[in-house]
Amino acid sequence: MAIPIEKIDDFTWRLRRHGKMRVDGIIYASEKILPSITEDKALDQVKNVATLPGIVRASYAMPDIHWGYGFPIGGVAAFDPSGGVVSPGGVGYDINCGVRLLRTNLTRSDLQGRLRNLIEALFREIPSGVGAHRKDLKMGLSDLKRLLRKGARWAVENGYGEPEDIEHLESQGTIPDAAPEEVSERARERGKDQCGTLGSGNHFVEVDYVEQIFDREAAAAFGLFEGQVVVHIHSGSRGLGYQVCDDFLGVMLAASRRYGIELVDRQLCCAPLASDEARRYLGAMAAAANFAFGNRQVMADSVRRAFARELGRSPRDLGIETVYDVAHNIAKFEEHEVEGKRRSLCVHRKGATRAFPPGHPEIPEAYREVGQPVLIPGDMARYSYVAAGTETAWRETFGSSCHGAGRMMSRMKAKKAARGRRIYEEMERQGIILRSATLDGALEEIPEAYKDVADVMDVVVGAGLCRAVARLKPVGVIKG
Amino acid sequence: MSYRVLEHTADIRLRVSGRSFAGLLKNAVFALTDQILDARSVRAIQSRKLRVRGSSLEELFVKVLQECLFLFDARGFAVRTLRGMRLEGDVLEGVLRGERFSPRRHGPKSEVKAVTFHGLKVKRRLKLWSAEIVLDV
Repeated sequence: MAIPIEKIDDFTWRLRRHGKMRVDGIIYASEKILPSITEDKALDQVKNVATLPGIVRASYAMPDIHWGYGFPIGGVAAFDPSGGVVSPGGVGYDINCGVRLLRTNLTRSDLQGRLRNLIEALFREIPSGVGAHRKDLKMGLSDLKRLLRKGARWAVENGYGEPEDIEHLESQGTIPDAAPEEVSERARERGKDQCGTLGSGNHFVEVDYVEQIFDREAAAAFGLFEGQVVVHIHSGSRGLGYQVCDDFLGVMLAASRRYGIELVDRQLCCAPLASDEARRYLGAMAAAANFAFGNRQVMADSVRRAFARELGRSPRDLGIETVYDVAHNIAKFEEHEVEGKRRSLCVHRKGATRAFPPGHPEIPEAYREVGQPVLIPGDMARYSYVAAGTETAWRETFGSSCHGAGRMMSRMKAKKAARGRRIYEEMERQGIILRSATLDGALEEIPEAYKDVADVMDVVVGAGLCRAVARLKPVGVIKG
Repeated sequence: MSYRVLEHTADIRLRVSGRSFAGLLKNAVFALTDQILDARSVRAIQSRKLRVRGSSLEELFVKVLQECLFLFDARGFAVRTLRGMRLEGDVLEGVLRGERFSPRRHGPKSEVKAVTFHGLKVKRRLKLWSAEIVLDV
């Protein structure tokens, strides 16, 4: 049965509260993008999330939304600490899957004739695909525990990267109050050899150039200029995070029964924020999030090494610096204003990006006047965007925006559509060198498997949830 | 092929069948491994003991697959098949047969993050067992 939604304006739709919903659903979309959203069961999930206890204001859907585990991917929901809940389904399996953007002082022409070797070097330097691990980073239990507590800071202290990187990461690359002791032995075993590895599926390392600047002031603050070479890293908490989610789904199912929380879908299993189960999950989730920050920090260091080796200059000389690093799958306690009162809320973002406004104290000082960098990757052939957080996002969505293009074709369909096509040559004709651990991995990620991220951007910019700062074009892609 | 891949936008949905619950599990184990690598290239030459506890066939089904995924992801052991399954009360035991993963020989495909309870169905019609399962990838 189709879910009835009402248009509020060109970019906003309301799923009016009915049945067991405690709040409305708010969907950010355009006429163009709406059919792809309503085809999926994602709106059912927006409605389901609205039934959870203690949800504040609304259950939000970003334009790149699609059907996920319990909560939709592209969903935002905030809960009151006194009557609200935390749900592993609202964070996802890949805890703190996220994106880091590095800038350089190179331009496209500097890579002329060197790009292929550079992509090969990156592919060698960053283990990717099934079963990959690093020979140079075997972690004992005590090291792993330190990584789970300190996140990116552990990596920097151990020689992976620069202290300045830390200032340019969401939460400075460390979620406080991590509880490594709540991370099961199985999760630790799955993750211990995977720090600094990319993974597979939609994870990637991508060399891009800045094709167009939309907002000169913000671009200057972010250190971006036209023609500049930049690098994206998209990865998360690897097997450790997946296992933490798995472990706690069981805990939360029991907790939902124990606390008498009525679930319209068992995958929404959750626990009251004041409960012991919530405390344990949040501690384990923070530890997994820190693993992911450390993972991206180690890979950023590998990017620096590969560039330095191929171009024969030091990373500092090449100006390789972190622009920013955002979490796309996380639950965090944040101070927000609700009905004129400041309140601490537990904000779940699953497939959504924090987009804090200019002046927010959590933004690195260099960017504070223009707003938080929001990193929105597209697909491997078209383009990605850098945006900046806004006051509107702060007021409307607890400071959140979209996280990417959103998949619209299954992997199977993508492989069928790509059958007989020479994907590597096809990409090369478009000026992109593609290197993938497997051919299937590349075929599953064909550009047409994703929505056009420009359509997604039209919505979030039109709705005022972020300002477009720059568009990036890929020239080299590594897929796991 | 003892399994089929069904349509799912972001993840992998599989339909597996078998002539008994043990046969269903054996095919499901193969199907899971076959998403991660080329399962046919895995030789059943080493053993790992399997023991899981679950309050329903669905739960046992998922836990067996979760065990296979853990063995692969944490210990690099690729499972080819399940032998000697015994089910007593809520405990299922058996032997997982396979070998150490070799990227060169086993045709790696894609990581599986988790085996989920999402839309899980384990059904029996007359003598045919079937199950649908979603893997998070």
